Amino acid sequence: MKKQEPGKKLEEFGKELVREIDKGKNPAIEFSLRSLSNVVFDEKSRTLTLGEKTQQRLFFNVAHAKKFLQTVEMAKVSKNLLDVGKHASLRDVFYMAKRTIPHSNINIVDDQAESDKAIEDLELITDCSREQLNINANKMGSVAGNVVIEDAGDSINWAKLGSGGWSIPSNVEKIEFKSVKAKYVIYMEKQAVWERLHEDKFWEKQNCIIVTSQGQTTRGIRRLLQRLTEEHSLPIYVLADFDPWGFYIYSVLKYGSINLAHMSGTMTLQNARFLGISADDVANYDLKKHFIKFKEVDMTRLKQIAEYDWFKKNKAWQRQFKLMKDFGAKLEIQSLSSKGITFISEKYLPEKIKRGEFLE
Amino acid sequence: MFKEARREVQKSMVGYSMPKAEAKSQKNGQSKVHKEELIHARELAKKQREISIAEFFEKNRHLLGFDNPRKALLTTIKEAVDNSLDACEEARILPEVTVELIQLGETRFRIIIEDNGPGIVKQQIPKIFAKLLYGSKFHKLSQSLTAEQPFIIENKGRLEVTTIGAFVDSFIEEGEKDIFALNIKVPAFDWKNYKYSFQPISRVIKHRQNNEIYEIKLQSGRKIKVTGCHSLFSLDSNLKVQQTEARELKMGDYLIAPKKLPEPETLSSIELLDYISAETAQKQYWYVYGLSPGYIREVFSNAWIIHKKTSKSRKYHHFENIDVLDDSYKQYLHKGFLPAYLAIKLKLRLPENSYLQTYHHGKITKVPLDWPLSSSFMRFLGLFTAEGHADHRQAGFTFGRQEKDLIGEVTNFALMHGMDYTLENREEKNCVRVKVFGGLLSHLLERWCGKGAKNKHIPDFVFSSGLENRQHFIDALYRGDGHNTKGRNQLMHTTVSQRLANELMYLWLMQGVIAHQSQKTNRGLGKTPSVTYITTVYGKDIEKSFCFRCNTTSKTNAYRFLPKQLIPELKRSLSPRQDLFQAMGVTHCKFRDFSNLNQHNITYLQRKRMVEVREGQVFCTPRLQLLQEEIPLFFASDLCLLKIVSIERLDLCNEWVYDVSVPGVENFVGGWGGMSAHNSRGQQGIGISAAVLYAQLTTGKPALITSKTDAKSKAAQTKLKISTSTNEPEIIEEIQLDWPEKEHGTKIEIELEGVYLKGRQSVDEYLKETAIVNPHVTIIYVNPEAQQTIFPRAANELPAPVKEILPHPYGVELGILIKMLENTSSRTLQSFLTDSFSRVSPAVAKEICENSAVLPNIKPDEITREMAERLIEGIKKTKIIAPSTDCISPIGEEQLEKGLRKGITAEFYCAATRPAAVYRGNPFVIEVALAYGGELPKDQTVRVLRFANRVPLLYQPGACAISESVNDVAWKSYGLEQSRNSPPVGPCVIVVHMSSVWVPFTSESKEAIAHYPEIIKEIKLGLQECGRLLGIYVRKKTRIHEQMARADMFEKFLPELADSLASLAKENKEKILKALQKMLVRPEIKQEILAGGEEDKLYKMELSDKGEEKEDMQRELNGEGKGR
Repeated sequence: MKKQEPGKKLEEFGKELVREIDKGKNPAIEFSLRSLSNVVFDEKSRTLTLGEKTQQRLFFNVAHAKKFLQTVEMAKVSKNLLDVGKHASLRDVFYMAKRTIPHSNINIVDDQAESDKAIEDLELITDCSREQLNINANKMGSVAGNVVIEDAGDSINWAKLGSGGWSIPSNVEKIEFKSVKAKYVIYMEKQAVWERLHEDKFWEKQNCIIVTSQGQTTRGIRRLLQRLTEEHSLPIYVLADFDPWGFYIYSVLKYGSINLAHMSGTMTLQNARFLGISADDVANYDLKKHFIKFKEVDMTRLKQIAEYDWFKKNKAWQRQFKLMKDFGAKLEIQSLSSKGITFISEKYLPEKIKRGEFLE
Repeated sequence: MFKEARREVQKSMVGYSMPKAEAKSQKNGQSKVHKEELIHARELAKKQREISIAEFFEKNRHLLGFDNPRKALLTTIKEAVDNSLDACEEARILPEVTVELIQLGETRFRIIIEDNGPGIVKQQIPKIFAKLLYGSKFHKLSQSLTAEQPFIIENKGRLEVTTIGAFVDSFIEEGEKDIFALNIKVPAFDWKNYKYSFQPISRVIKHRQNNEIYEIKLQSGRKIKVTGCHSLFSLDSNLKVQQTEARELKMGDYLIAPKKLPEPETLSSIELLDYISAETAQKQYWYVYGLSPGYIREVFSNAWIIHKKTSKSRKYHHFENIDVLDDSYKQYLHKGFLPAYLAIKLKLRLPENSYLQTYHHGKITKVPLDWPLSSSFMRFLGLFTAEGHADHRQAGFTFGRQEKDLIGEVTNFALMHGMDYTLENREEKNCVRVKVFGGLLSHLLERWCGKGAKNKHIPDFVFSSGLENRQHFIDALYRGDGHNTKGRNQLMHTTVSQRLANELMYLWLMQGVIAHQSQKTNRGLGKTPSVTYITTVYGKDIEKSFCFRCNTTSKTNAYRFLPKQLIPELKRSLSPRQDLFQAMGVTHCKFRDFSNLNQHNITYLQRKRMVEVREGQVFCTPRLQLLQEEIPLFFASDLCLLKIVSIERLDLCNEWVYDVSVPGVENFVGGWGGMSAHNSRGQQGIGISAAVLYAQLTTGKPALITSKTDAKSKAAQTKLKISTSTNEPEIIEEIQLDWPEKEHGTKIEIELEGVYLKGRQSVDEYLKETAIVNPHVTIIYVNPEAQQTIFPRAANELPAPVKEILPHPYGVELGILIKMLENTSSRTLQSFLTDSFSRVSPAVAKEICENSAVLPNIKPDEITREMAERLIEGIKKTKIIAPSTDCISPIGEEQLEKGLRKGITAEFYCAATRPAAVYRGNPFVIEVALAYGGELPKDQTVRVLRFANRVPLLYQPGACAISESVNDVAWKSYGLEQSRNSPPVGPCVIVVHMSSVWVPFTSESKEAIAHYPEIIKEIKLGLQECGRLLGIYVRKKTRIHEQMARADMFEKFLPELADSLASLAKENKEKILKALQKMLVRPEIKQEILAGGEEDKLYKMELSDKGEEKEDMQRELNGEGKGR
């Protein structure tokens, strides 16, 4: 399929199926296989990408039929949205598709996970992101800093948005950066830490942008970060807990994830740096007393991460893993508050950045 | 008439003879009885017995199955139906049973049960139905004999006359013990032809006497001491054998005794070493020659080499009970011999051509070890038993001077066997003394025949030496010690040895001769009077001998007649030679041809009710027919009748008394001279008489029994009650009637108080389950609502009759094994294993020995407890073929399935018969069947039908090994629902049947099978076998169900897809739908839909998006965050 309007692509997708049906062929949808076995780490781009394998979804097949139906249904819903030029959330779309097939107890979709999955499949089929298909995720996360943008005709200054900051929409494609004065970006795992730094006007003092996600890094935030670093060459620092999950957040931001391997091109942050908390901080700031002992899951997770292709040959990272393994314990960012409420904004972060203490 | 296995009557019951004080205090607990206390004491005493039998029933009703009115109704039917089935099977008739329940009042029912069995002879009816048995098994006191009563057994093919006390004492100190496994047999008559054969003893019983003892003497000098409740046999007026308790016998009655004992395997030779004591042999120069160095080496290869220090260290070969010097061994090897004592101690199995070598004054005598039992040897033994005595080095015979032929007999025997002898004339006594020299001979004779005149006995092997050889022995014995009285037709033998006298009676019995014995007390000059025993044979029996003849015309012996008082129609006693009609004064008359009879004859016969005259025609009466059949049968049997000449009540107390059980035939031969004694198992049919009593106690109505034995005769109808005062049948009415619709059969009508309910423990359920496990039975059932249910016959074969087998090694317990080892006559462990167990070949025996690290040629009596333990372990390690199922009668897979189809409506059936297995040496077979689906309720616990030996077990499912096994099986994998360790849930019925020689019940009430691991294991294997078949069926069914659901699903998907596509591609919906519908009916698409399983792989892969890789994927799916 050539680069086309998403609406056109969807229509073409439908027409192709109808043609097959007319010919009496079992209608089939073919797209890249999206499973662990088909995700590879591309050494060249240093991202996770999909391999060559494809999967076929047939309608007249017991195992495929329902998914086939869901995919077509989602395509229809998306096409309708595009036709009327409206956006809908994942949840909306779920309800738009959800109905019971007459004279049976079968729902076309039973829960949102199914419709979400169908949309991801559709992304692969049409080579359009879900945002392009007019389907948005919920807004999550906040940003603040010396940046002025234009969004949907409104000019917004990220420095003048009170205590809440600007909440990042799901689709950031349409945003235009008017002026970017900040020198770097800090992405932090925890909303609470972001609030601390915002209250202390850390971004003002350090001339940077602070970003957080409510819990998980959404696609919107990842895309926003990528645009900031690509369009304005800002370095990105990641501030996360000292534990395997913290490392994993960094890993996903930098190299992409298995699940969104097909979107790696528009998501990964090649120049992301891990600021903290590192194993060395434990000694430097005397944080040992705040250790939380490892559970078994933590240890297994650590081992898995240490085995990742992209970490395997990285000596600095392997050292971190080893130290963590030796500690057998983890640490939260908030433990820095034991040194004083503004310790993180006034001492820890400025020092770390000044000294260039980060991992790549 | 009832089969053993099914009706194992309760072993012990709470005593009937409860102390009076206790009985009274219990009664006092009830207010109703308070008034009775006021009744005059004498009156109370009069009622005592009546109270006690009713009370006895009251006390034991739970054991009899009359706990409550509901169970009473069921038990009554159960007993009657069980009896009917057993009787039919025994007579090889395909059973057809009709059960009718008529409700007369709220709690009153009339039960009518009718079968097509062989019928019961009129005289037997009262005994079977109206005598509550509290003797034997049912009673605490067993029937018993006193310790010194002679008793004949067959053990490993050899007959042995012992005493019952000595025999039982060798097994137990007190109580009861199962010795079935040892296969020791006693002569017992069967109940069909009254012929003797050897039957195995199942258990031995020993207890303290608690009722009176009688000594009963018969006309031939036979006598027996038994407890008052012990039954002996007599003949009733129909010439059928009946049993009578000793306390009820009268002078002049006739008792049954064997006329001829069965012949054991004939022994043609004996092993001399068996009779030589090692101690004597060690002192003598007796050697075994003819041994190859290879053989000796092999013997010594079993020894350990040890060194003992005496003056200097010497090398010895160490056997378990003896050490042999190495120098001696070298000499044995060099010359090819072994000392006799060594061969005896090591219980060696010697090669065929070996012989015993002895020396007498330097002269070598060779004696074959395998000593042939020749007629000359038997005569020699007979003479020695009569006249001989054994010294240290010689055997001496004293003969009268005129007894030249006897002297010749002895000297000839000595000459033939290379022995020296001398003759010494003793003038003063007018006799000749013959001395035969040889230490070995005198030692053997002493062991064989006993030392001293009072201890003389008959060598044990004589009994098994065959008819002729035995006669040679008897002849020689009588020639020595007996005399043939001139003109008196009698052959007498005199001895002072009590043992010899008794054994001689048995020996004559073996010859088919009833000898007469009397005692004479001689008050001579000595201080103690000596008793002489005189054994006499009369008349024709003398002719059996090879050398004695009757002096005058021989007469028929008295015991060969039928006493006339038994058959009142006869004028005089009847002998087998005499034709029945001749005996009645009627000549020239054939069976049913009366044409030659004159009027006088006919009138005579009419008066005797032998013939009937109807319309000028003469007919046989049933009585005459009966006599015509029974008299020849009795004469052809091995039984005879002997008159009681004295009955003496002995007031002994607290003596030990003994008994044995002989299953099936329930009799054995015992007592002085051999009498037929009933054994402890007692009469069966206890349950039905209890039902009659229950009915009588609740409604006061008698039971009505109708029975017909063959098509020609009329049916006998008897109205019966049980006398509660004497526990005797009370015949209220007895009539003959026509019962044209039945050729033979029995009908029982009982009226009782009961409660009829439906459900799991109901009459309906019992009959249904009985029909399931007895597919060869037709049951017609009419319930109180007058609805008829027929369970038709599903198979036309009767269950196979069962055979006896040796015990199987699996499951033999240590105690039993040790006992068996002690009692075996086998010489080596290997032969013990092969001889005493079934399915053990020499190869298997060797393997057992190997696995238990015990030498196969070790002697059984040298096996220590510790070695026996190793043997048990070794047996477990060895693979042995399962026991033959001949001894049990499983239903069979096919038959069981047929039965199940008959009883349960379902859509799927399967059955499995497990190979026979063993617990505690008892072989058993487990059978399992399943019915699934159809109308069976889907959401209820599966019903488990339990059976033991074809009898349904309706009560106590929780305590039963079957229930436990069912819960233990993982039914989920077989398509049923189940939570852990609980019964499965689903539309299914499970049948489990255990058949065994002996089913172990948890209690006397026989409602649940005990938890033996071997049994549970077998049940589980059977359940799993059926479960797998069920699983296949359920999966197949589910698959078809799913396929249909899928096809349906696609049909519903089509409009949806068409709709979505139409909207997406801007096409006509109807057009797309039509195209899709067209595709749906195409075969390859259909195939695709139905064979959904083939796509399993892909399906699984899609699933795994949510499945195996779930952890990783899910976390990312949720947005690449933390999954904590």
